[in-house]
Amino acid sequence: MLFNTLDFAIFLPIVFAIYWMLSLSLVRQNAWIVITSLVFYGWWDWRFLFLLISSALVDYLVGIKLTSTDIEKHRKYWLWLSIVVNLGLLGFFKYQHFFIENFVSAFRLFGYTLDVRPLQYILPVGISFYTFQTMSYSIDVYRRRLLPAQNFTSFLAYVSFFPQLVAGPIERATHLLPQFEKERTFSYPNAVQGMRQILWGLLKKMVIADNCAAIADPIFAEYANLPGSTLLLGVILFAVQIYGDFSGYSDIAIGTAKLFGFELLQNFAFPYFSRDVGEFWRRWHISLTSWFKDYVYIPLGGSRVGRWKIIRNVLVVFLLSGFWHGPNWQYIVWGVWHALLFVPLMLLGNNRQYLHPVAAGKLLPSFGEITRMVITFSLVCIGWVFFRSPDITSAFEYLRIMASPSLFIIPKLEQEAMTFTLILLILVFFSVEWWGRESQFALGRLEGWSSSVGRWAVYLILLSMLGLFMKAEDVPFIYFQF
Amino acid sequence: MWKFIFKCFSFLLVGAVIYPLFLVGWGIIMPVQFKSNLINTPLLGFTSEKLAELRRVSQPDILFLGSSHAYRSFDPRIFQQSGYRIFNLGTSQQTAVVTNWLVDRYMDRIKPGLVVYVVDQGMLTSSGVESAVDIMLNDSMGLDMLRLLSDVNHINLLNAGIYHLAWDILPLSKSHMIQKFNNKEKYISAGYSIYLKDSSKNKFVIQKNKLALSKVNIFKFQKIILNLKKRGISYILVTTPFTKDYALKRRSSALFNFADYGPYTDFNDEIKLDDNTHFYDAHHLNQKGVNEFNRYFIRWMEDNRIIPLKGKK
Repeated sequence: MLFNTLDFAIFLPIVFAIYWMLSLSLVRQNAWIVITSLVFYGWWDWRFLFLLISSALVDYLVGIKLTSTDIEKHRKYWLWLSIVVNLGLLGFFKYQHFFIENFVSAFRLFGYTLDVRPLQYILPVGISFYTFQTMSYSIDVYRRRLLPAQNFTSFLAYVSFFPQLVAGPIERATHLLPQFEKERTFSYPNAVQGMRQILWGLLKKMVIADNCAAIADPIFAEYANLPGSTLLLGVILFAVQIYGDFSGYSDIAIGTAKLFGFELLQNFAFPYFSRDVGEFWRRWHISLTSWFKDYVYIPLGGSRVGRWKIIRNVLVVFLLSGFWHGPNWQYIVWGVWHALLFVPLMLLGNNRQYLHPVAAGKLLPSFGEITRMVITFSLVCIGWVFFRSPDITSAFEYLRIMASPSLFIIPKLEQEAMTFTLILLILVFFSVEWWGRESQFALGRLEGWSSSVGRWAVYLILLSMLGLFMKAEDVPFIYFQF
Repeated sequence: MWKFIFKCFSFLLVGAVIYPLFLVGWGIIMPVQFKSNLINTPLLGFTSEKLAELRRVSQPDILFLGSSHAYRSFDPRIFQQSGYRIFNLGTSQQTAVVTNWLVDRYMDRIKPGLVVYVVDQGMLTSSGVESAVDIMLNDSMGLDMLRLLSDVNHINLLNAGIYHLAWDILPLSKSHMIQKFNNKEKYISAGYSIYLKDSSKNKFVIQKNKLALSKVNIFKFQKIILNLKKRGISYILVTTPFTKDYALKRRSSALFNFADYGPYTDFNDEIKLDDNTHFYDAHHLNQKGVNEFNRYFIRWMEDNRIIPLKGKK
């Protein structure tokens, strides 16, 4: 079930109404979350429910076992069981093809032909997200930062919670699980903020991202026959598309969770207003980068080791981050690119120099801030070329054409009127994002407006924009493929 | 919580009033580039003229249904020469959902002697939104439009319906909705449109289309067949000629067997046309191709006793 469908528009009010009718019983509320989340997930393919429930059961039992013994060796054994099962599932369903194909290619280099064929199956939606979420539970229980779940219902509710099950934010057990184990009360201001965030998320996805895809996709498909200026437009539109798509989904997830009295982690904090790559990675897909920081970077020594180990640690994190996105070399190259940008900042101690929103408290940024934002955005876009291209060779060719003299000719566009309209929409969109950059999400700033007429006018205009500009054909959420 | 629910309902009520007004205002003020979800640049095929003419038609010998493969492939003038009165109710990108709606709306009144349903996988894979919007904007408004809206279930269709209703109520010109003439084609009569050129710029370019069959379209296709049988209307299913490459590609990606639903003939197996001479693009005939194909088609129907022989003029 997709957030931007009529099915979900019917599903959500029913789930919401019954959920709050059950508010006198925490167990029943959690059970209702479990049932509706499994329905939500099973809407795609009911066969993978077994996988989700099994993965949750393994980690639930591991949590119990971790606290039933103080023998460190045994505790490690249980922790490794959780990691092996979760990474094993991920490896089997997501990376099997990659390893087998590269294994075969490596042997072919030495003149040997192997007849090994990967199994053909569908990638379970959300597997990259919920396996990381359950692993975080096992690791935090092992580290004694968290007590194990009180019962399987609350744990399964935490794992399967439908707003964030298939595309994040990747929640931490220390943050979300306790919310399932205590009473929730309905909060009117939170619910209204939730609805605002859902509206903004829908706009980002259905108006901005989907329309960008309609123009960027043909550019990436036919890049070899297009001038550099068109390719530049293509990568900028893809950058906007992936932001609108992914942060839009996160907004809808977080807003929906607020309706049920839950607070999810912020996943995006206006990343394209970043002044350097260090800031970008504190604002883009925050839940994933903080997961890798806490469970990979810091255990490897973090920044408290020698220079070469710091470089190694940063490289490992970015490589894994790239690899997490998909079993393809271009994602790994994307990760390496960002590692190359990040390492110098790290070594100079400049990776944390911008901790507050740009031009905080001011209307406009300074010329220096604009320059830094443009440079950072440009560097990020170079990475997006690898992310979007079908393979590394195409990515390099794309960049080569983009950097050629054809960069300075007028872009060749199939849909000029639509592109012009879209550019206007993007300018309006980023103006609103700029206006709301000091809030958790752009429309969050409306909370401070005293005039309800003014607020309703904004909502109606945005809904009308949805009706006027959403695409006729469904465009899937990009991060579903991960 | 009751305050929240009350506010949500109030907002929905206010929105239900404000949204149509906003839409109409937007439609009046904004240039066409900003109205892609309102009237989307008119589809080809002269749907408005076709449907206006249909209201004066009764009991044609043959009624053609389907997409542009239908309305570009059967010239009423050639059929007239052989004594057959036809009408072409094909429309651009018509899917089974839209065809079913047209059958329900018109079949009882028109009562054709034979229905030729031009079929191809595309009518079962596309969402049909643009085709439905085409009908919503160009056909007369009625309560059955609500069924089309629920069948296709897309905001563009709702917008088109509101827009058309407003234009019916308000004293505004509908000239922008009527496609009298454009620089690609010309309306002849009885639902037929002719390309002005013999071939398009990208003649042999085959666009990639998604190939997942839509359950709704399959269901509606089955319903069309049942409806025709229930009304006692004879029908045949045909696929019109394509260029060789297109026909090959289509065949290699076939997902649906039309022959399971009635007498079906793929004319790519029956008639050999020349890719360079007879085609406008990969899957549409030009007038030379239509002439050749229609003469063959009429002979084929008569030889196979699909239609009674008529006196030739």
